[in-house]
Amino acid sequence: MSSMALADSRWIARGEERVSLPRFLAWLAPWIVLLAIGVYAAGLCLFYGLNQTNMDNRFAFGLWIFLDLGIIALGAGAFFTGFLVYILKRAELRPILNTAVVVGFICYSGAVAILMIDVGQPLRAWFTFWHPNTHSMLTEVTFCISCYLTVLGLEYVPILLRNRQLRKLPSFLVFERQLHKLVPVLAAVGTLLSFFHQGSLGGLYGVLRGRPFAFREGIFIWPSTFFLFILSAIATGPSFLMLVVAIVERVTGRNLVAQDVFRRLGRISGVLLGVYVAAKSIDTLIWLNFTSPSEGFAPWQYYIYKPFGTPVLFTEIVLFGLVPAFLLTFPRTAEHRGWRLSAAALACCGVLMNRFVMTVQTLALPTLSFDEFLSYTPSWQELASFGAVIAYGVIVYSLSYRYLPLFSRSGGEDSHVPGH
Amino acid sequence: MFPGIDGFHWTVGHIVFICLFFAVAATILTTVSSAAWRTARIFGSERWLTCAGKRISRNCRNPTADAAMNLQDV
Amino acid sequence: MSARYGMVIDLDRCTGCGSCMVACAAENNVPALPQATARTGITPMLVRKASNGKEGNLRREAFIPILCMHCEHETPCVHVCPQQAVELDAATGIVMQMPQRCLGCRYCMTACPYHARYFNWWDPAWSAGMEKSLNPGVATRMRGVVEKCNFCHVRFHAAKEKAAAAGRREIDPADYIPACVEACPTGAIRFGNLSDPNDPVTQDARSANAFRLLARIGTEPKVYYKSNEEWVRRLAESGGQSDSPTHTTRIPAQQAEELHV
Repeated sequence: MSSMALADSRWIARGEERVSLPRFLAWLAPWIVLLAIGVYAAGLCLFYGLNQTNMDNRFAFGLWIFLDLGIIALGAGAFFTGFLVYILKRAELRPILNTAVVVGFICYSGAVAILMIDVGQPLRAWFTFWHPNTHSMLTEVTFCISCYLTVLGLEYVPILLRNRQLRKLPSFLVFERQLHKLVPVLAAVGTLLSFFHQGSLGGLYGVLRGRPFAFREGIFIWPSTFFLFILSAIATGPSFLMLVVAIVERVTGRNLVAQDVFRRLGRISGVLLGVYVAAKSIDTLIWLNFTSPSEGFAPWQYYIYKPFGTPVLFTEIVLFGLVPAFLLTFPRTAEHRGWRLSAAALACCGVLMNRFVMTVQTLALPTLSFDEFLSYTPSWQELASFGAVIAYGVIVYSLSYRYLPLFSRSGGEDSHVPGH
Repeated sequence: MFPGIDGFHWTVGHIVFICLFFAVAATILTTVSSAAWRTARIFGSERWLTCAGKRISRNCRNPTADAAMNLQDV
Repeated sequence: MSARYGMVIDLDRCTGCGSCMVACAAENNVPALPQATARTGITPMLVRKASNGKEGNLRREAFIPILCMHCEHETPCVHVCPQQAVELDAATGIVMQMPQRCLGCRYCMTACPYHARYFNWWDPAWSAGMEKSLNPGVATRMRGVVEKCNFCHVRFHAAKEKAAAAGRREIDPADYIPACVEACPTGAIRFGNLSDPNDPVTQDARSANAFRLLARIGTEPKVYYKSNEEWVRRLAESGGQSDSPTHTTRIPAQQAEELHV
């Protein structure tokens, strides 16, 4: 074994088998290239300005905002799994906890990175903390996501410190142990923060009086989209986790998590998805028949523009909502791995479609009577930055899988046996 | 607007918001500080100092793991 | 007593000449960017065109100057700005934008029902020699921030200074005229204090043929339009083309009954 491979093997947990270093680097190479292209594209946007994108005064939000909302919704599995394990004491989900934290960290850090490029003056990001507008949903989102990213980082630290070499440092070992004892507190804080920011991301659009396609009535200061976004996030977070683990199992060629964990995640996702579909359907009916007409917008005028016709509504609620909810709860299909994963993929598509409809379709539709239906196509810089976030996620997860005990039998609990 | 800046006035929204935010921030800071403080306390304990010098002692074969596992004795 | 500055724009007089747009750009030091397009250019005053949807000799068109409506009720942009870079000035009713505080998140642009907000997609630049034509009273804006019409607030300040120099507390209305109002060759754009019942603009705003765009949304815009043509008044609400089955009119209910509209 070469000295480099030998050094690398010392970082891999004892008893765990991983592919050779050259093969691992070959796996990482295309993702690193994708990341590099995306970083270059982001650099262009930061240096030359947002004219590098195809966003304009009518499409002020574009691909990046859709990406942000989408990956934050999918990353909800992190807080929700933590809530289930530490608060509701669902210990059977513990094997997937580390992955949930890593996936959550990737999703939120990626979203924040994209936001820093998306705003016109990133260096002024601290202004929101210094001059907060307590009436704005975006202020609430900023505060909560900043705090939650900190919490996720803190939850990631104990996993990092369980690396074979890092554990040898006494201070790291003891600190990791101490922090791990307090993770339930962080999980509770994370649940509170996530509840609010997932909701406020929905509230961003629900409060827009000037966009009747998105505007909703609600409870007190919170439009119905506040609650719908929370529901859809906690419904699809577990599905996304299932998909991630299934992909990792396929790529690594090993069974990492017991099928029972998948079944439980699927059941939780299916039930919540069913609740979400019911709530969304009721909300849509209220919006179509009361809210929108009261603002002077007839119910079906939104759907006369191709390609955003009523099939979009049907696809979002039925194909990507009701169908996966059924597949994940009906015993015959819920017990079958293939159906379960297909349903999980449909559910994830559903939440992405919902976020797309609320961002892009909202802006495409005319409001003034002499407006036109608008279209927008992202520039290569926007697509490359999008690709960079995905590449970043794959790289971070790959490194975490290789060097950290993400799937140790007891989730890392027994990593302190003397002599190891 | 910020307290102290001309034109600022307190509302219920400000109070709720600031209370919640500082409660969360305080919880996170307390959690990290608590873990760091307990870590420092373990390394300052007499037992750790004794064990550190005796790598092959029966009682302290792995002094770090020992310290981590038996915190209530420290 | 605080003022509520507003406008009434007579669409029957507007010829679509665009003088208001040019005057606004000159007054506010809007950069002349050749690479800007219709959807990326900065036009705090923008003349739009609408038609009655018919063809041939039945076709009618109208020009509709669109600017910030300075909404009074739950002003959308004020409500959504995460760092309070927008404020409804209680003394004048003008919705003020602070480019120095703007983060460039563009949430206000999404929130504005009238699409009256514009983003600086490029660094401002003027060709050599053009900087001599800049208005020294108006600060230029940097790349990455949002801007919009502010009813030439600098002129309001100048009017206040003039009044103060003359020992008066209230400004002379003749001293505060926004650039677009001044430039309009037909007098289609009229500006005044909607709090003053004697102001001709206030009386115009209450006339039977006056309407506000998307009034049913409930943001209480302070820019009124008026027209004797019913098809133009129908443009007030979404789906306002005369052959659309979903139109609604927006004139005060009492007058609507009298006119049998």
